[in-house]
Amino acid sequence: MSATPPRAIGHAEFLEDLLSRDVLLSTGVPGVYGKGGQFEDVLQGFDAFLTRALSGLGAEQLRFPPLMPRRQLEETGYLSSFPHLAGTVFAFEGTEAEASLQCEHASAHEDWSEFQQMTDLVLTPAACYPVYPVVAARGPLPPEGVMVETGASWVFRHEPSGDPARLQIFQMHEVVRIGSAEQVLAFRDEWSERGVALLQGLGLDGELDAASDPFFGRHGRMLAASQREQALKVELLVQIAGPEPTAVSSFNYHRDHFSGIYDLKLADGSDAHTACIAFGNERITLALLSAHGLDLDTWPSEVRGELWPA
Amino acid sequence: MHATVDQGAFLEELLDHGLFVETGVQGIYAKGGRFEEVRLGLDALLTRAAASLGAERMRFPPLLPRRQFEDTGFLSSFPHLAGTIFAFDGTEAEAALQHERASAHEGWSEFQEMTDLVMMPAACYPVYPAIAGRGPLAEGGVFVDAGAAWVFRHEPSGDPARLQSFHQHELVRIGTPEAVVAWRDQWAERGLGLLRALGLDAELDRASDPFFGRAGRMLAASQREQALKLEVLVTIAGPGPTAVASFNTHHDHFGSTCGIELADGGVAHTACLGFGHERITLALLRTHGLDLERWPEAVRRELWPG
Repeated sequence: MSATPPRAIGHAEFLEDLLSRDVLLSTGVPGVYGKGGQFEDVLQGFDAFLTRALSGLGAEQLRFPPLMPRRQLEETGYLSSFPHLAGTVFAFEGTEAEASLQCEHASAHEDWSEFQQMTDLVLTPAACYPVYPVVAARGPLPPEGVMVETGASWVFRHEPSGDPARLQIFQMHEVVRIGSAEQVLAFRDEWSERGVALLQGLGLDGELDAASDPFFGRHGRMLAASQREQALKVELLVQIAGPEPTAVSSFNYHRDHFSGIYDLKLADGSDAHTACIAFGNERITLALLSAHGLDLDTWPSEVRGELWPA
Repeated sequence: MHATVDQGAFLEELLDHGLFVETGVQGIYAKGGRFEEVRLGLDALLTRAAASLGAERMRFPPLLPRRQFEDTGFLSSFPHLAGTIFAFDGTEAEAALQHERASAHEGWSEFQEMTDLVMMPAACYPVYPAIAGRGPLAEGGVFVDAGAAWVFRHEPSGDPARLQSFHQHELVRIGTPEAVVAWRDQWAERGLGLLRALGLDAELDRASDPFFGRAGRMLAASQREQALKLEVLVTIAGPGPTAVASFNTHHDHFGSTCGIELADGGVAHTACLGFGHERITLALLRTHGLDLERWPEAVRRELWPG
């Protein structure tokens, strides 16, 4: 007799479960939640598990805030590919009279956007973005190239959704590899396989698949097809909620895209190639909660041992 | 804001040693691994202290719903420090134009519209509606550890201790007026002791928030007079000492605006403690030096037990 496959829970039902148990806390905006202690225990356990798995790389550790210079967003082409996902930071620079008018509008929940001006900051769209200019500023790469781990970095995507796995603001743990084409591709391919094994060790059945980014507009469909055809993006898919599995991790090869923007040169003066591997901490946490249940005490002991070694 | 000579020299030292890494915007830095090691040690220390006293953990992202922000009065007191999130909601043609302007580093703000999110102004803000949503408080009220949340202050500066985006670790108490004031006062002493145990030459003092404009000066004087805000001050980079933690009571401000009821139906009072992770980390680096291996054994044990 074959085992009954687990019933696929819907997005709305899963979100309701999470909210009713205070695993997630509603803020009133879809895709923006507080997290209860249970959620945080799993997320921190996973982040530490991942950090241990990556420690053999000897990557340089850099931590970035949730904001980056607007100038970088303008340079990277993000606004061409993903204008719908970007978030920019505005602020007030006016007089006392304007401040009181702004406050009046805001208190009445009326429009006060006219009092806000664009600053030189934007929300970080992906954890790896701020890494490239930092490395470029140091001059030509050493022969072995460069490896930078960002830790769990907050990133923003302006896409309000009722799917608890599609957050507007979430933590992405990335490792960036910069070097020759061969070096970065070998890194990307090795880690996509290791990613599958890592999640297997946590009781998650994942599958790798060629994927594409959610490029904007009609032109974007061509970019997506080309990205998929060249296998630049590989995703690790796991069942969380809803009819389709969700990408919890991605392994990306950018060729020389970033060396066209920043001065990233190999020791011999040629353009560096880049790749990054990204783990979505919240999605993996949700996948674990979906697979093993909302009561952490009843999780398989092997999984608990991996996440919270004594 | 201009940095003093001492502040500028300390920033240079941090950059030279890779503890801070420049991004091109003042007050926005990447942190190197050593900086993060100290900060995480501090985070764990504060989390243990709160957990040992029965705090409930909540964690929030770096963004807050705009509507909630509009209700708090932050825009009356600190309009100059707030950050709001704008985004694009236009057509493909507009996207192309926006991109063209942005690539040329020309103005493209006309293509951006206000969203329903703002930058988190203080780590305790999202706690109040989350508690209000549960209905009247149980006897004894609540004690929440809101963890180290990223908060934003729009004040570019060359002082490494005045960041635009930083971690504020907040503990929040909600209950009767007597309970929250007693809690705040106990924690002011406990917090001071905790920082002194890390070898910091810390002092407790009455303080006020940087209220905006002329009316703000009166608010600040009144806040100081009523001792609503206490700060722990440590010298990081001169001339004066820097506030690294603050212990605040809000009377019924958040209880009223968010609708938090006591068990007996009265309006709840609130207090919060804020520990500035980056500032405390900088104070530790300034006090004990940039080489963590050479820090006093007692300090290392506090930060990294076991």
